[in-house]
Amino acid sequence: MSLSMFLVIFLEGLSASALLFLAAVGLSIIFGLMDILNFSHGALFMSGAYVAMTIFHATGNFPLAVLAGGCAAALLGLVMERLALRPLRGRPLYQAMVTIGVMLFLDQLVIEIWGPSLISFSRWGPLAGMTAIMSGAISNYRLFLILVGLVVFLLMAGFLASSRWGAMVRAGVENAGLLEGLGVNTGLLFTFTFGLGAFLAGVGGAVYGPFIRLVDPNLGLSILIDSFIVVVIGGFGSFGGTVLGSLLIGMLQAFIGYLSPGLTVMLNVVLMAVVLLIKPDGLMSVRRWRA
Amino acid sequence: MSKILMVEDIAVDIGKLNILKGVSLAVENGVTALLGRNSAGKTVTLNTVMGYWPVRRGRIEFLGASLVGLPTHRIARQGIVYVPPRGVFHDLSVELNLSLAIGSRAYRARREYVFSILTELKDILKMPAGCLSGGQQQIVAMARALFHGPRLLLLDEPSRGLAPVIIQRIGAVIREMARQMPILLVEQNFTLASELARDFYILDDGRTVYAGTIAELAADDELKRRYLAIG
Ligand SMILES: Nc1ncnc2c1ncn2[C@@H]1O[C@H](COP(=O)(O)OP(=O)(O)O)[C@@H](O)[C@H]1O
Ligand SMILES: [Mg+2]
Repeated sequence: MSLSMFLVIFLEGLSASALLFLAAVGLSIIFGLMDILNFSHGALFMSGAYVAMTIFHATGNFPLAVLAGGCAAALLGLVMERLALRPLRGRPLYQAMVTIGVMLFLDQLVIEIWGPSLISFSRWGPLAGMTAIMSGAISNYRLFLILVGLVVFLLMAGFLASSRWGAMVRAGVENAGLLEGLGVNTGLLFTFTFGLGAFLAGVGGAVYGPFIRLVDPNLGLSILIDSFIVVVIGGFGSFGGTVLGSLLIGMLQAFIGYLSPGLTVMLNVVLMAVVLLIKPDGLMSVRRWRA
Repeated sequence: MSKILMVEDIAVDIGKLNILKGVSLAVENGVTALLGRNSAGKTVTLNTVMGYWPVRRGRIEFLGASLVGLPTHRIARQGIVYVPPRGVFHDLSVELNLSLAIGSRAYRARREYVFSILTELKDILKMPAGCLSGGQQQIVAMARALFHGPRLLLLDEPSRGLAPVIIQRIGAVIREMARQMPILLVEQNFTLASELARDFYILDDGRTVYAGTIAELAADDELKRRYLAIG
C-alpha cells in the first residue's frame, strides 16, 4: 500500500468514524445522563435528514438546512420529553416503550409527508468536488464530515468537562426531588438535555443525507442499529466510549474494505461480538460516579 | 416579631389518603423541634413546606409571603433548604455534592468556613458519597446546607440509624448551624431534640396535638408516653 493510498483510506476511515459518531453521540448522551434508551433516535436522525433536504432544495443554503434539520429534531425531542417521557420519569422501561412508539409514529409520518420512495439529496456546491492527496484524492464532502465530527466532539467534550451540567443531570436522575430542593429546575434540565440529544441526531441526519446523496424512509432503522452497535462497543452511556467505538468501526471498515470488500458486511456485528466477549460492558464501561 | 415560617392548619392528601389533617406550627430563630411517633406525618409536613406535595387546605408563609403553589425549586431559591436523612447523591463525589447547586465560585468562597466547622470533610472530598458511612453522609448533607447558607433549614431525622458517638457529633454540628440559621428539626431521638431545641410541636396522625417549650415537655412524662412512646 502506497503512502498516498494509506492517507486516502485513513481519511475515508476518519470520515466514516465521524458519521458514526454524529449518529451515535445523541443516543449515548441521553442514555448516559438520563438513563433513557431512546429507540426513536434513528427516526429523529431521519427527520433531520428529510427536513434538511427540503430546506436545501428550497433555498440552496446548506448551512441553513443543517441547522433546520437539527432544530426540527430538537423540537420533536422537546415535545416528546414534555408530553410522554416526563410523566414516566424514573420508569426507564416505560420510557423506552414510549420511544419505540414515537419511532413508529415518525417513520410513518415521514412516509405520509414525503412518500415511500427515495428522494435525492445533492451535495452543496462548495462541498461537491475532490481534493488531491499526493497521487490520490478524497471527496470534499468526506473532509467536511471529519470537520463536523471534530467540531461536535470538541463542543460536547468541553461542555461535559467544564460545566456542572452533566453532574446535575446525573444527580437529577438519581434523586430529582433532592436536586429540585436545592433550587435546580429539574424539569428544564431534563428537557434541555433531551432536546440537545435530539438536536445532535438531527444534525447527524442533515449531514448524512448528502453523503449517500439521498434520503429514504428506512434510514431511521438502519442508523438506529449502527448507533446501537457503536454505543454497545464503546460502553453504553460513555462519551469517550462512543468516540472510541466510532473510530474503531470507521477505521476497520475503511481498511478491511480496501483489503477485502466482502468482509465489511459482517464487520460491525463480528466486532461487537468480539468486544462483548472480552469486555461485556463495552470498551469503556461507565464510571457510575463523578468527581 | 413576625415568624420565619408559619404553617396554619394544612391538609394534604397523597393519592386517596388523607395524610395531613391539620398541621400548624411556627418557626422562630433557634431550633424548633417537630416530634411525634413514626408515621405521624413529620416528613410529609417538611415535604409540603418544600412544595413536594400540594396542600388541599391551609396556609404556609415564609417571611410573610405565601409558599402555596410554588414549585419546589422556587421555594428552595427563597432560602429554604431541606435535608432528608443522609440526603446525598450517591453517584457524585462529596465535593460535587457540595458544589453542585451553588456553583464552583460560591463553593470556593465558603469552603474555608465550612471546613473549619466540619474538619472531617477534607479527607473524603474526592470519594463517591455512596461509599461513605451513614454518619459521613449525614455530615455531607448538612455541610451542603451550610454551603447554601439558607434562611431556614428543615432537618429531617439527622440521627436516624446512627451510633451514639456519631449522634453526639451530629448534635454538636446542629448546635453550630443553629447559630447561623433557624432550624426546624424532626427527631425521634428525644434526648437529642431536647438538648437542641427550645420550642416543640407534636404531631399525631397528621395533626398538631401539642406545642410548648422543651423544658415543659421534658418534665411531662404522661405527654411523652402518650405521643412519643417514651418512658
Ligand atoms: N409517598 C407516599 N405515598 C403514600 N403514602 C405516604 C408517602 N409518604 C408518606 N406516606 C404516608 O404518610 C404518613 C406519614 O408519613 P411520614 O410523614 O413519612 O411520617 P414520619 O412522621 O415518620 O416522618 C405515613 O402513614 C406514610 O405511610
Ligand atoms: Mg420521617
